[in-house]
Amino acid sequence: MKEIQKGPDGGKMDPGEKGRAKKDGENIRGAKKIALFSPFSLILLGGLLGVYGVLYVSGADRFEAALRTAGSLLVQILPVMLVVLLFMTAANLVPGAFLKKHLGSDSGFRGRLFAVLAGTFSHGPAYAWYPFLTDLRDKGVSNGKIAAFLYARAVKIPLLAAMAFYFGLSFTLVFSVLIVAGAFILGKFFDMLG
Amino acid sequence: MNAILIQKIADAFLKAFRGLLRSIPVILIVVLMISLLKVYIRPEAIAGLFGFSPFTDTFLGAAFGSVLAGNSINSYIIGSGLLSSGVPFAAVSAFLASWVIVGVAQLPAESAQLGTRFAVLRAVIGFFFSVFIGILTAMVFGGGLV
Repeated sequence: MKEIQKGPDGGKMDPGEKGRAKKDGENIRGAKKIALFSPFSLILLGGLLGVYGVLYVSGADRFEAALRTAGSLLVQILPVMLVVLLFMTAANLVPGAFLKKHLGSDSGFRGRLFAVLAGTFSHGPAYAWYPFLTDLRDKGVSNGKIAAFLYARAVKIPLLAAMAFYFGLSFTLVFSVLIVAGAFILGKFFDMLG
Repeated sequence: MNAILIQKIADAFLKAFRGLLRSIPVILIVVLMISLLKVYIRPEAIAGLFGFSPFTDTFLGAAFGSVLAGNSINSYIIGSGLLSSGVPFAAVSAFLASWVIVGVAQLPAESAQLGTRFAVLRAVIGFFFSVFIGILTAMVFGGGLV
């Protein structure tokens, strides 16, 4: 008798879901197979902690300054992570087919416009947004839209006044227009690459 | 009906939380790398490294912007300081663009989360895009590459 493959919630799984479940380190029955953290990132983190350890042991005076900077950066990104968590929750509630239709590789100008606008309005460092972007890509959002989002982040709406203060209004406008145009073009390029 | 919706939201939240938890080592990597770069690379020492041809300086500007990281407002402060020190306009503009677009310190994190091919390609293209923006803004504002 043919066995029906079931998801963690007991429902049938489509092939895409099966692929994602395997990618997430789960088998199709929902049992965890591998650890939560990727070995690559753990090795890299271990190496960096090793560098900090060497600095501490060798008495480098900048060790404390680096540690203070790291602490202050973590405090700064904490609120952004909470916003990202909300976005990720919302993305999980939106059907993958909807995201694929509106932000997939065939979504065209409107999809790219949305990605660029989202990029310019997004707040906080880019790395805080990576988990959200990874989730979106797993749900069918194209590389072009993710690239457009990341490139468009060079235009910071809340900081435009500060940029104008340092470099003048006309430079700020030309710089911003070029970045937005580039984000569109490069987004298209990444979509063509697939 | 409400119970089903609440269950759906709870499931979505838990899945999101797990995804975020999985990215914690990656975020720590970036934070530790940025902190090291911030402490060991002194912005005021950068100005002295320019002074080649304006074209080479533009590439240098994009390179420094790619390596340095942090809040964009810092790039404005450093950039305006570079301009006052006589660094070409194109170089400063490329520096400002690559500061946000490239991010060498974020590359391992981007590779781990979005794939090495995507991250490296995005960074390389972003670098040349920053140089292009530097040259173009300098041309728009009349000074050419000077």
